[in-house]
Amino acid sequence: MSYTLRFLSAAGCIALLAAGGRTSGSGGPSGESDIQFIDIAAKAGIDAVTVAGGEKNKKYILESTGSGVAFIDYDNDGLLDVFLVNGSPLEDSDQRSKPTNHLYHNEGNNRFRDVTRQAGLAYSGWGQGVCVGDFNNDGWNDIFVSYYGDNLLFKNNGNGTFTEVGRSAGLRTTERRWGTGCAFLDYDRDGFLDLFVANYVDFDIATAPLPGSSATSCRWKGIPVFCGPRGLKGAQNLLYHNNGDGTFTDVSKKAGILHERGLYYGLGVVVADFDNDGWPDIYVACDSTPHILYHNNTDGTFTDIGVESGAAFNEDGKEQAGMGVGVADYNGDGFLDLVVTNFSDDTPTLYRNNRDGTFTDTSSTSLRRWNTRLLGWGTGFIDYDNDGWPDLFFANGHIYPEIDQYGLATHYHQPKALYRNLGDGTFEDVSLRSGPGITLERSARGAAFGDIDNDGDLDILVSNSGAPPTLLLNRGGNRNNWLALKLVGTRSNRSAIGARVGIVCQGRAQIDEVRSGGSWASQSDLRLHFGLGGAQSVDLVEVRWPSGITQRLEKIAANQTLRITEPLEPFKKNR
Amino acid sequence: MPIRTVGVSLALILFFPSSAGGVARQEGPDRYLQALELVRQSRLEEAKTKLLKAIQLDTPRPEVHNLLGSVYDRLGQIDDAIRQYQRAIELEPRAAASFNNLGIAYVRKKDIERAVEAFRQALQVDPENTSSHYNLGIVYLGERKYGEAIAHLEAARRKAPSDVSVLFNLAKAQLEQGGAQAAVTLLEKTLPEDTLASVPEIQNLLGTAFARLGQIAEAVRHLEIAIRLRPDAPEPYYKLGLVLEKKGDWPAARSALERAAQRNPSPPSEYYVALGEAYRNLGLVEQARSAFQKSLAAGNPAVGHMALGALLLDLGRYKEAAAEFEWIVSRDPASVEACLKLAAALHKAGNHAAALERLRALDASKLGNDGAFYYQLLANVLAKLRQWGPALEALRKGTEVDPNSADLYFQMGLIMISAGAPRQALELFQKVAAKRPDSATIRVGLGQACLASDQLAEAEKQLAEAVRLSPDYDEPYFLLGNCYQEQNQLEKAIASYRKALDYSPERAEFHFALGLAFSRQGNLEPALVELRKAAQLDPSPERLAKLGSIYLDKGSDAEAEAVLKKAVELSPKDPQPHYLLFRLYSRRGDKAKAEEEKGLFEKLRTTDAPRENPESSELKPIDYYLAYLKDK
Repeated sequence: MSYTLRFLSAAGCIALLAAGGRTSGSGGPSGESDIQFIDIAAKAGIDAVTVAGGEKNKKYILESTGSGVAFIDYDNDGLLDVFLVNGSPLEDSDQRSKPTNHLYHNEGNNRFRDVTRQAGLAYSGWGQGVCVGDFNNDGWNDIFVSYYGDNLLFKNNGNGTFTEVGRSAGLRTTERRWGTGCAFLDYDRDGFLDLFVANYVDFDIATAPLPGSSATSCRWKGIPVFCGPRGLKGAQNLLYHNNGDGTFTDVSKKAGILHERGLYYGLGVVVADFDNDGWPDIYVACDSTPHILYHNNTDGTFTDIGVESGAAFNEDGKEQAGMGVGVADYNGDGFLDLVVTNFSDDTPTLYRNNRDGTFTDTSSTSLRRWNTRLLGWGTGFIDYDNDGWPDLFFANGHIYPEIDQYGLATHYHQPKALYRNLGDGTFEDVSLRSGPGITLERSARGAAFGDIDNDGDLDILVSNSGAPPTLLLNRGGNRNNWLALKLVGTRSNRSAIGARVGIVCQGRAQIDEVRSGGSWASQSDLRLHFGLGGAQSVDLVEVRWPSGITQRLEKIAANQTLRITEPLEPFKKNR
Repeated sequence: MPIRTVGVSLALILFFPSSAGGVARQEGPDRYLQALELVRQSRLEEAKTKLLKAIQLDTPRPEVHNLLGSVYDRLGQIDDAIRQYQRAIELEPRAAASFNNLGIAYVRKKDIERAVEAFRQALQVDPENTSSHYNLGIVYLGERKYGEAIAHLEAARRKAPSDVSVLFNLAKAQLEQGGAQAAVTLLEKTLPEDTLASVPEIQNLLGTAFARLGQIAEAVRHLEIAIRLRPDAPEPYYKLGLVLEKKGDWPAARSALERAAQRNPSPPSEYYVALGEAYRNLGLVEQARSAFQKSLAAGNPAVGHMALGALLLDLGRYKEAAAEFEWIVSRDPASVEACLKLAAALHKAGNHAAALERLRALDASKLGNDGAFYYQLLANVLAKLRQWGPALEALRKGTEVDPNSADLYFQMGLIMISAGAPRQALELFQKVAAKRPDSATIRVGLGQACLASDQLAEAEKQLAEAVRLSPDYDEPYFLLGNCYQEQNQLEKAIASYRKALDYSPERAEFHFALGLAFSRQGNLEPALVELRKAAQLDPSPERLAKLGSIYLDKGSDAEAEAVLKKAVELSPKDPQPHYLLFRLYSRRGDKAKAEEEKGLFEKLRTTDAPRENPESSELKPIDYYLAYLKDK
């Protein structure tokens, strides 16, 4: 039997779904889940505290967003290493005691070693987001970190060290910016990774209003808290074009990224081909303002179709406090859907892709019984039980530590949430039965997903404001079968970011893309991971490379990490 | 003017002092006596001729002029009558009867000021003049000066203790002054049983008095006697209708009021209004509207416009309602009720600035019993304009007018919650609760402030206390439902909302909350039933938009379109229904309409919401707002 995945049309996937239905032996939605997530961060040696201003009181909004985390195999040893972005205390401290970013090398056996200083990554500042990609196509993944202040680009030297090249790469700006979510993408499909950076607020600590500065403003439920983002100036997002020579050019204006009108507070960023036209689009979750969906016009420009697409507001047409963002084809219809985390007293928003360029907010029916005390940050679709249906993980934590003094039902430290995909368009809350790592209460921010022990199930790294990160080891997720794919571009960018992969297994199709950025300010494993349920093999793997060529592999055995290299160019064209 | 003309006519003859004694000289046959006889026989023209002859030929006599005045009066020639009475007074300044008659003539000319002056002059001449006391009492009754009316009618009663007219009108004045029990006692203790039982006006009055005393059964009994005594009279039917409306027996009220209208060839506006109210309460909206419209052409259009306005307010047609009240206000700017209702309609229509202007045009110091309502409405309007400080100040003034109103403190707390100051609200409610520990309303406020402050356990405790204090009070159950929803306990929330609905099945917000709880459970069908009911009971834009959103999710596009259009009609400046219509038309592939709705949505969304003026947002220390709160 031979299969074909038609990426450019949903029809193929739908036909396959109709023929195959759910995979058998996947553990099934009704089956008891005994998969447990255990926090092994301390045991693994990951103990760096993420600093974000004060931990008992926060004076400015700058202290609230925390930082992202990244899974990156920086030394290409096949094991995921950990990169932690760090913030700063509010008060000035001497250079030596300033918190820095951290790189932890995966030593195997769930042990990590802090290699920050030797790697040349001990930079301090108000770090926010992180994204990974091989911007110079040298085969070594590089790291970009967004800051309140100058953003930094760490070029991987291929020898375990990095060099900060932001200035020489042309990424410095004259204006003070507050960079947040970021992502490498090849928006013009020229084989070189470009860079998108969201910006949150035009913030100046010298003029920012103080908590509770009036009897009614800068308060939350009557408690004096820091001001913003409402009342503060919004910011413009940035798109940098990779010139192919190690430098970038700011093309934000030319590419239509700047908004002439309107107010936007950009936070989480995700890049995906939402309309299956083969070109990467950019989605920005915005706080208290409409979300942005930059549709790739395929000519180097973008158009914000957030409102037209239905993905700018919730189902009632109301703006929400968007933070993190995740993407996956959760209902198996061949189109990528979205999830956005929001503030407390609200729910996350699940946008189902309608396959016609529009989205429908299905949160009220898909994510029932959401605990509205939770304030969500990092998120992602993660098939934690390998049943072939992407589930949902949420890292939560409030932004106002002051509230804990008042005996409220909402707390600064919050548990995480895990929702299992039931395969019928709805999700079930399995947080309470998924292990102490999920119920562990922290003020979580960034979250990244990847298989740190290569045992076939996805683990989770979460940053916590004012505390060391949480590393959630998945125990039991590999009882179902799986397939991991490491893609290497040749004509396309080396990291294969933007490559679309479809698999067919027991008559069911799944799709995903290699993605930089996402979640809240974080970077997940660039390898793709598919749960296969009880299937021992995959009938078809089809890769649509950013270069446009499609590659097919058949009869692939389950439970392995398969490296797929893009076929070489028969002829080299002049650029 | 309810002067009893028969009695007065008799009075003007019988109480003329010179008619009994005769002080003027007589020449020839006494033309005066002949004329008097002709008057008694109602041969008025002949009497007039005779009296004019007497004036022409005889020596001037005041009683002749007085009698001629009376004849003119009966012929409807009031100005001639006045001239004759004045001539009589010139001739005999101590003629109390002429002053009295002059007063009556002025009453007929609706010149109340001169009438009162004339009656008073009669009493100066003859302080014991029963007629003048009586007439002055009647005039004051018509002028709603009940205290003065009672004083003069009491004076008349002293001279004529068993005069039925005097007693009847005295009772009427007492009733109007708020002394319903005094009126009943006066009539029942001073009038013989047979008189009581046989005079329909008295039964009518007793029915009205008992209605005011809340003794509905007694009221109905007396009004039914009045109807039996005079089956063709419309008024007892009308009054019975009003009493039955008070009882909530709308079918019977409708029947009585229809009969009242049938028995009156040209029913006054009030009849139609009462009938319209009965129709309205029977759900017969069109008949109600028709009745109210008939009232517009029935003498007192203001009451019709008032009723129509109220009906339209109920129907959520706030702009049309405002136009009805505007009609009244433009003609009678002093009508406090119309001004307040106009402001309320404008406020409901979302035109808060205009509502504020209307309210500010009223002199709050002259509102009397409406004062507390005025301040409450003013506070609501100011709160909508996000002027929290002035809104609270208005309520504070309200507490000066009515220091015992728990509602005013309750609203104060709610405004603090809306202003983002739930902890101040909590402090306020705690302080009020310390002085009003038994007020379920204040406990509910405490519960609500705890909910808004995210103190759910304390909210539950306070709401449970409110249930204990007032087990039939719906609000605590509703808020407990909200409390459970906050904790994701949807089944308990649903049970609580149902309990609230047991007490108040017609509260739209209860149905709405229940619908949302079902929706969160994923039970769309019962959710739709409740949301539809909520929108039907009170079609607020928010409820319609939510209903439209659920219809959209369900794929029921036609229903979604209908309710969303209605939401737009009710609140054209609200962007949300336009967004939902945009989604609907996009899905339907109607690009032009989708584009139009999207444009409207984006335009309205970016239109500045009322800006919070920091100065208007500053709250004062809680004790300032509690200045008039006293120990109970």
